[in-house]
Amino acid sequence: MDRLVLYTILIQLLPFAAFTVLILTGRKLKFGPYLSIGAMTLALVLSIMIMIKFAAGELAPIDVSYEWFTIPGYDPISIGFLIDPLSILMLVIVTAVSLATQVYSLGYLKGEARLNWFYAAMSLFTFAMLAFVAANNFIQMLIAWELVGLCSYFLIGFWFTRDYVPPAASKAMVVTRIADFPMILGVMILFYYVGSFAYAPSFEIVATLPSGTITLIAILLFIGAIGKSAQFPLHTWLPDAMAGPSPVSALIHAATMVAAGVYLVARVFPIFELSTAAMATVAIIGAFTAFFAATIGMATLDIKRIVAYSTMSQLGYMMAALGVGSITASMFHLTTHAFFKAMLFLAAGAVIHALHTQNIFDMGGVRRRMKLSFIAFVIGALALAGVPPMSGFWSKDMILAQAWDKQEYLVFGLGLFTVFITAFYIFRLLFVTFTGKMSEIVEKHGHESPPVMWGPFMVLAAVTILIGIAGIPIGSWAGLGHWMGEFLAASGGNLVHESNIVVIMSVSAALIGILLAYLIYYAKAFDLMKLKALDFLRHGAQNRWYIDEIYDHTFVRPTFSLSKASLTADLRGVDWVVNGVARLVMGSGIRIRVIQTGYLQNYATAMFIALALMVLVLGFAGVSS
Amino acid sequence: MPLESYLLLGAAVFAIGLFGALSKKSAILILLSVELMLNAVNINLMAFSNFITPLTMKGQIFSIFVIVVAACEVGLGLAIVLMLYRRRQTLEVDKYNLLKG
Repeated sequence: MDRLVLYTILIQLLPFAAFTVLILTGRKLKFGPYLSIGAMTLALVLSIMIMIKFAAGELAPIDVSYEWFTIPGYDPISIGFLIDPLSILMLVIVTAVSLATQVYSLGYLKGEARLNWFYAAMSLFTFAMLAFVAANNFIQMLIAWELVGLCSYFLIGFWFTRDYVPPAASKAMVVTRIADFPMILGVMILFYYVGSFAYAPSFEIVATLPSGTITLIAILLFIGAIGKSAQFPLHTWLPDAMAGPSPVSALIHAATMVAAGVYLVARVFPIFELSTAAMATVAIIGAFTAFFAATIGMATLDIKRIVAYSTMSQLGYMMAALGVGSITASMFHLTTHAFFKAMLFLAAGAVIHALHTQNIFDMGGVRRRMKLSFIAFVIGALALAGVPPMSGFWSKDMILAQAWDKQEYLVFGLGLFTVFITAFYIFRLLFVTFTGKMSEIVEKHGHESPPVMWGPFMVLAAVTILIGIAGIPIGSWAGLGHWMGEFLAASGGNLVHESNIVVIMSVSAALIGILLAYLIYYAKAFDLMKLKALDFLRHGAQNRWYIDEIYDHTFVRPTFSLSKASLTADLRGVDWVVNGVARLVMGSGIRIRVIQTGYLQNYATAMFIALALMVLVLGFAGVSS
Repeated sequence: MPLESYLLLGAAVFAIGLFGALSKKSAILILLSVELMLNAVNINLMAFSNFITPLTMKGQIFSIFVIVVAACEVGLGLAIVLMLYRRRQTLEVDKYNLLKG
């Protein structure tokens, strides 16, 4: 077996082994979390090793399959691995963020009785995500896809005794399930035409299909991606998923699982590329989600939910980048976003951990008590807003440059305006939470988190800055974005050229947003609340543009009514008939059994009467004939 | 006397016997009633024999068979009733209900 394949399998099996041990030993294992962290460290080291070798050109992409079982008339169903730059990049991101969040959880979830279960679920999730990334066929991909969804459900529901948690976990499950159904349908249609589940043959044969079929397959697959990546209109589960612990939000709902949809589209990009309609859909949905989520972020009060909406928004950027045809820009943003967003979530988690409140207007002046969280947050906010030279600047700018290049002005316009909104809402969060007068809660509870918590997010902050610095083109080094294009070339990545106009526009948009937030929330130059003209916008955004209410009225309540009606029909209808039959038999039995007296003479009487009747009847019949 | 008179007598005796067999509680009376029914049959057999085939004796022979069987039956029946009476100190048949559920 090829050494590269061996390493890939090992990377996947390490977290799975940790999961197996943890789930079998239960709460007894004292060093359970360390086992999981150790496995993750090894996996990260292996991933980085492979990536370095790949970047140095020592290794070539590999696509191997091992036969699992056969269906006569079709290609054998196999377990296989597609190890190319795209999947290797994801392997590194997943293991790195997973390691950071697991270390952080040691502090965040200290003293939890079900800590080992938490680590088991985190390990299982990481395994599933790695398996999803490394898969070379749709079957394996679907299995892993559902497994990450299941782990997401487990982990959102970690604090299931709090009353708002179980509905949030169920919502995440149900909404993504709704999206998964069309996706499975898409895979089935693909299999019908191709006769194989493997990626490589599928891409070849799809090219020969009529364009309508290709579009159908692409759109169906994209609906699955919409659900997992929380794109409009199936985004409603992500803000609610913030009910889970912060490390879970950082790993699953910021860096990895929600990026799975983006990765899926990038992975099956050859199918999307063949259909302009599908590409336009991806671009528009992405750009609109970026804008839409950002507007809600402006009016949200919950610190984690603001970051969640920003995640949605940034995922929209990634989708839009794919829609305009750039895997490089999309994956670059996915990479930078994974690190700075995980960091933002971990820092936000540190604040929540100390203050036990999530409302940013209950906070204020946190900076003075939590210096490190503040520094991390500033770096994260700058990266998110797209201020050079932070990592987010390079990747977001690449997406905008790509949209500009391809003359997708609608996508570009929405993207540019969203840069402004993004800068505004994240600095609103920053100023309201960290600066100004210390609130009572901060005065009382504000304290820096232990090193085991600030360590991981400071490392992520360092990575964010490092990626940012690596993005600067100096001399022969054309910048990390350019390198990314070269690295991903084997997976369909393209080279994106920066455009100075775009840089100027996006940076000024970001700076205007920051300035506005500064004026309103730091200098308090004017009060936005006094602008009555903005009231309807504020109400709309605060109520998440009533999407949840619309779903509630159009789908949820009718479903509940239908369920209740079915229940009534079952109880009053089906059960009535079934029980009625039994009652009829019982009742008639009770009434009829009195004639069974047990006295021979009564029976003999009955016999005689019957005999007499028979004789009479037969006699008359005989007479008449 | 016409045949009908014999048949009516036979039917009347049979009916009395049947009524007795179905309505009496005493085991001995039921046995007696059964005898009546058998003898009603005998009357019929004799009457038909005399009026339809007077030259042969088929009816009479049958009657003798019936009488013999009836005698045996009564012998056995009375023996059983006697044993039952010894065990249960009663002749009423509806008291013999050990097997009733």
